[in-house]
Amino acid sequence: VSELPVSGRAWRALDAGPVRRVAYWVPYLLFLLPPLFFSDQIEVWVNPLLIAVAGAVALNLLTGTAGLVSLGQSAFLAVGAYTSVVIAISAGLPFWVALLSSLVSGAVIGLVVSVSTSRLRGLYGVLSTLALQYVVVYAGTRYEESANNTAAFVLPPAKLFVSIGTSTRWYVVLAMTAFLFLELYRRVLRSHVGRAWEVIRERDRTASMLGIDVRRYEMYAWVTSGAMVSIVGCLQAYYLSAVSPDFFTLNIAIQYFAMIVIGGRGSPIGSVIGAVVLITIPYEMQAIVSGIGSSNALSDLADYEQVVYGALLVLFLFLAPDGLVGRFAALGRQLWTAVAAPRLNLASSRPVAARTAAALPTPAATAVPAEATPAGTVSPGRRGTPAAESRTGFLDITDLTVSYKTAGMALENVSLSMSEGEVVAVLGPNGVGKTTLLRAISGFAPDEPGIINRGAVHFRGTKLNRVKPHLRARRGVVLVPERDKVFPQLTVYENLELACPRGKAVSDAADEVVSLFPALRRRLHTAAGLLSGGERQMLAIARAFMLEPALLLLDETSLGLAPIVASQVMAEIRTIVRESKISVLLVEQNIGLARVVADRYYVLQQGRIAAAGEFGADDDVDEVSGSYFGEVPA
Amino acid sequence: MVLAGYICVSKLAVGSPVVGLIIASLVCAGVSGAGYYVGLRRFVGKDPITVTIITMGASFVVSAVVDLIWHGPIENFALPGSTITWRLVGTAHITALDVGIIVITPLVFAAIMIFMKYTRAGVQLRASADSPSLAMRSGINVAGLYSLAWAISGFAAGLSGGLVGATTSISASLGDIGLAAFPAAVLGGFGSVPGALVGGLTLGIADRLAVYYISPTAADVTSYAIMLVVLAVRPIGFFGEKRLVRA
Repeated sequence: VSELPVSGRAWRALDAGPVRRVAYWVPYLLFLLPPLFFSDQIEVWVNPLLIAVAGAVALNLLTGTAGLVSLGQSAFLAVGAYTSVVIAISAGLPFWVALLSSLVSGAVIGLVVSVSTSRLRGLYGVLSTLALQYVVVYAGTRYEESANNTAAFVLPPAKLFVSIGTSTRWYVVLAMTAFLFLELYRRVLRSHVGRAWEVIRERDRTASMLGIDVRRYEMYAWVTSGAMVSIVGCLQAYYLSAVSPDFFTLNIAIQYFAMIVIGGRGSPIGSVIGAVVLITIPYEMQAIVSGIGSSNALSDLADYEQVVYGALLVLFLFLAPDGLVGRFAALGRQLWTAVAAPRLNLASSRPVAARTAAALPTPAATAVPAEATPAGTVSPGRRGTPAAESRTGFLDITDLTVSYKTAGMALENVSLSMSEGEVVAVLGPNGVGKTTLLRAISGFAPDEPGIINRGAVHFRGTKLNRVKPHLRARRGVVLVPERDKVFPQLTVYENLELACPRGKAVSDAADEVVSLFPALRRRLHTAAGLLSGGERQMLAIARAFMLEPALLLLDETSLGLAPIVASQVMAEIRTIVRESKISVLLVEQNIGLARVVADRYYVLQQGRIAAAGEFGADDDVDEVSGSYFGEVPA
Repeated sequence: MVLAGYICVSKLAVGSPVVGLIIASLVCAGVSGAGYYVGLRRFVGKDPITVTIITMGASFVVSAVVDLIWHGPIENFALPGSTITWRLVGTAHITALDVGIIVITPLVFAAIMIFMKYTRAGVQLRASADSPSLAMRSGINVAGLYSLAWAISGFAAGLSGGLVGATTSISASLGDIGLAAFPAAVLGGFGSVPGALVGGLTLGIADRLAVYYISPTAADVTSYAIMLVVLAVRPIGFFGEKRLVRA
């Protein structure tokens, strides 16, 4: 999503000069194509297409750019259409009044929607636009009933200075509208409003922290888009010269949604491409079907269309969520790196992977021959590791390099081993990669987009890199995370129950575990969200014990606990660990607490292991804290 | 998917109604669960809106295909009992089928409640809803459980599709009735099983009252209008979860 479309890329590369100014307007030359080449299809294909383009632009601004998913497109079209009916038929006023009134009524409804959805996030907001659909259609139906109108409303011919009767004149009006909408969208995208919308879409929660008044900008999006769609509704009503509630189905809303998904969300050109695809396909299908000439096939046409655009929508959401524009951009980037860049000898266009590899020399790789490690356990192609690490066959981490999609490198060439029964601490201040290390061992969840670039995690001889988190937990590699370590909605007992392995009686297992933490016993039927920090920590560790762990990974056990509670928890952990012979890898900022439990330590700095040693006598604390704060002896 | 999948199968069932209904519901469960596992599993922990739109797109495809295969509404799908009628007060009467529906609905609810509250899988499912990443690390197969949840909801949808079909008639537009489940769920509160029962009943009654007192065309809009009010006043619904967090 963050990648610019290739047009945008090339755009920035050009200097602000005449080339740029001319290139900006070139896409609009497409508007000249229909009268030149498709003059016989203007009424049935080109004009509906232009209506769809204008509508898709308005929806894309709202949904693609501001990230407000709307199923109310059809409703806004109806708002414009019924405003026109009221103005033209009931009040007998001319076309331009209807057009202006539609703009106003669409903006007002947009305002109403924005006020009523401003407290709602995600799915609830979408549902309220679904409700808008039903409310508006109902209002239209009632209006039709009250007007005693049995068939659809018939609008008078539109007149703007001259009568807009012919399809060519309509072409001019609709092309102007599509042009204005596109131009508006492109300009908004480059304004501070457009940037604010993009920030809201990408980071709803943090946008307000960045000083963006989220509600106000969301309101702008609803009002702008509502007014635009309503204008499209008005034009469409005059173009078809008929209005009926049957025109404004939920299908239409989904169809528009499909347009922007297929074309490319958040892209002006994408709106055009999507509209072309979704208007042309049914048009061509109709041509084919009427060629066949069977009346049965004609009556099924709507169903076939529905299948096609429904399927396209689903396929694109799965396979190409950035739409055709995103695909083209990706293709353009590939061409650029493969063809243009080498010729221009641009250093920056070298593939990222190659650069990273070059920037990370592995000094030991050439020095240590392969016989340094037993052959049977080494995966082929593995680089040599510093001789200090030897494999234990329990937990072996070799040359681990991990990066996050959003934040770059988190761990570099980390190697670490521990034997069964050991208690090892990983020390280091915030942000050095301690949590990432534990996640790499326990598995990344879908919302933690970490990637292992190089190296491996072996547990009892099995490579874990691709094993799913829940299967790692069942093998005995169990993480107690730093935050959100209990399920707050469930009771203490349920928190334990859910971790109980299959085929084991919950009551026995829970009883056994609770006997380790007697404080939990009287809280068994309390919701975990109501526990104190210390109790939560105990519950989290108790739940981990339900899984019969072989290797317990503890992330910042002391965090958020009062010092005295923290040392109590640590002392309990020590007792339990010593008794149960479970291996523990714990991550701590607090050296004093860590040495209560751990035998050995590693110090992590900037994603690399800076020091390692054993906790012995009291005097080594200084040495450890020395390397902890970055004063590593050479 | 869930919304429309039932229609095709319940039509096959015309031969032997009761067995057919059960088979149809099971097929829906299978389609729904498998559909989730194959297609939607990858969206675990990500944007729920994408999943919603995908299911809507898919249900459009399914209902269009159903329409193509069976061509428009067909006659009643006759469950036994629809011809047995008892008179109540005045002109009101009730069929044995209606009584059956009144009995079946609470049974389904009770079964789902018991599953969620007292079985290990139910507790694991609630845990997964709470925090998918922590659930995975507690050894729970989140994707597998979600598939199970989709299968259960597919079964319930299939069952209700068959019952609706038996009281009125079956057509591809049954999918609209499926959409009406959203307001009911919002009214009761997402994530609350008793909420769904109360929400569904409330909307059902409100719907009938609106048709009687306002206009026959007011049927659909009533539920959505009530949903809008609920969303404005109390977005978590009647029985919505209060997030339990200690201050």
